[in-house]
Amino acid sequence: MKPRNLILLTTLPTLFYLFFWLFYPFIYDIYYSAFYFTLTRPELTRFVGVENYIDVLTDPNFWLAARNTALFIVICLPLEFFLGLLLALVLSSDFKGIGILRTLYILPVLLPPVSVAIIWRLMFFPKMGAINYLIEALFGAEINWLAGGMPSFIAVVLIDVWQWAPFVALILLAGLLGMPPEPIEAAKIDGASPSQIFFNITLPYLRPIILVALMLRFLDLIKLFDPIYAIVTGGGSGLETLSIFIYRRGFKVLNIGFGATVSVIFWITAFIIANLVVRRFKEYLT
Amino acid sequence: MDKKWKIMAVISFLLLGIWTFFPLYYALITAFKSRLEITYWPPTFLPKEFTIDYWIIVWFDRPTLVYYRNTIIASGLGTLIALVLGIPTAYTCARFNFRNRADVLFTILTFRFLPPAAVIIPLYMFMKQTMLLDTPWGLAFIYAAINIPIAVWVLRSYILEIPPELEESFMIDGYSRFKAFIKITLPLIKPGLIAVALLILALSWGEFLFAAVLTTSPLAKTLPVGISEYMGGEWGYEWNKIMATTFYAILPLIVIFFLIRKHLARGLTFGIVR
Repeated sequence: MKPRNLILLTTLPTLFYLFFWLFYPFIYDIYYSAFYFTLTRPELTRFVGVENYIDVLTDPNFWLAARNTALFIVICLPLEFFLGLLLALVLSSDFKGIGILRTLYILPVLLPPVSVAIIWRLMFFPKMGAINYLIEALFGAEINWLAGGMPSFIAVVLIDVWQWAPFVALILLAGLLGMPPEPIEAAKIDGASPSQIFFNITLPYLRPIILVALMLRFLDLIKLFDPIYAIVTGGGSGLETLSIFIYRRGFKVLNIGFGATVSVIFWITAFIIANLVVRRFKEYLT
Repeated sequence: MDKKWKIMAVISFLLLGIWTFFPLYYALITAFKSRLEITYWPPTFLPKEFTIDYWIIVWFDRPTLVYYRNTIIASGLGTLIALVLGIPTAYTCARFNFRNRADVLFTILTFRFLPPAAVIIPLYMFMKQTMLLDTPWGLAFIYAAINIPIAVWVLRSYILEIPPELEESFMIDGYSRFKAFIKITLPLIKPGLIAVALLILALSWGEFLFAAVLTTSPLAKTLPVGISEYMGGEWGYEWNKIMATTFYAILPLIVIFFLIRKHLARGLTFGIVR
């Protein structure tokens, strides 16, 4: 088969599938963003032009949500990377029973995010949970993790890192396991230290895989939702992210026009940011 | 020197173990505690009155087997579609340097940051017209779509690690590119393929928002939706029931992972590579 035909045959169905299932709904968003439209009072629907956009962009909560989203990304991403890399490295060692350990250490990824959030909510619960008990026993202080503010922020970070560092680890582990052993063996014979091998052979080899894993986490953190929803139910405590903002203003209140507008703004912003980030690493990624 | 690194590895293993397993342990024992004991202060770290009542109640409380079936259809078919579409795309985007490659890859990627809340209402209306609403089949199509970016990008990064010369030398012997891919590249990226398949399966398995909105009847609900039924109802958070349902829900995933663990290991193809 000609390369040209092969390329078309392998990329067009995928693109078509994605456009059909995900872009087509997004066109609806663009359309409805020009209307005042609530499901509770559909008879009041009218064309409003860019009014929704002005409403969103002048809403201080929108900017707070944007700031929070950025904060969560900046804090969570490095933590998930370092913990995931460490986990991948220890799990890539070879000894009897490592297969079972790999299963066990990756378990958080297998749990439904709903359950993960609930497990941690229970542990953080005041006058009930294990974490508060330990903190009180050790430091004599009591922290209300579920009331918003800094403690809730930390709680959300912990939950996200707990569940998704193993995601990074699994992707890196598969990369490490597929790595040819010859360069490392040659370096060992030449008397290279473990840290030299890590920084000069393993890390450069893994770099494209690391970037892909980080990028996927970055994209998922942009739409961070579950742990915030669980920790501060409904998300109304100064911890709203953009995803929660869309959910509460558009979806839950059934104000379709407003929600659609936030979605459009969100997508365009994420598109620009992701574009900048990806272009920055273009030589490795494309 | 080597010994120092081994000790550090053991310490990392232990610390990461505590961090990973404590929440899981706490969840597990909570499933065996009575409703009253969960509220004890100080909390108990071993159930005082060990009970399996809640495991039995949640199993018979609702059509658990139907929830299993729905979850298997939605996430299994979704993973299959994502891989069938994703593997060829990943392959050509790794092996060929065509003009629009960066655009194709980036376009695929942009679909990963679409928040579910942004597309769920149009999808609801569309599925209502096409009879896909309130079926696990409809969910499967969406799960495939939201996970294709992972399939394409991660698999591509693994394929890039395999030198193309290996396939080319095979093709000089008269084999087709397809045959060369099946015989050479696929076995070499097997740990990666297994990891990606498992990730996509797990992400679909636990997906909540789409499942909660697009299914309403017990005949179509998935396991995570079942878990959420014990949250914030007239009994508030029923912690022990939530935990028991959670462990039921992830049991098949753990079994699958356990069965395929041998394939998530170093390949036996060493020596081919350079």
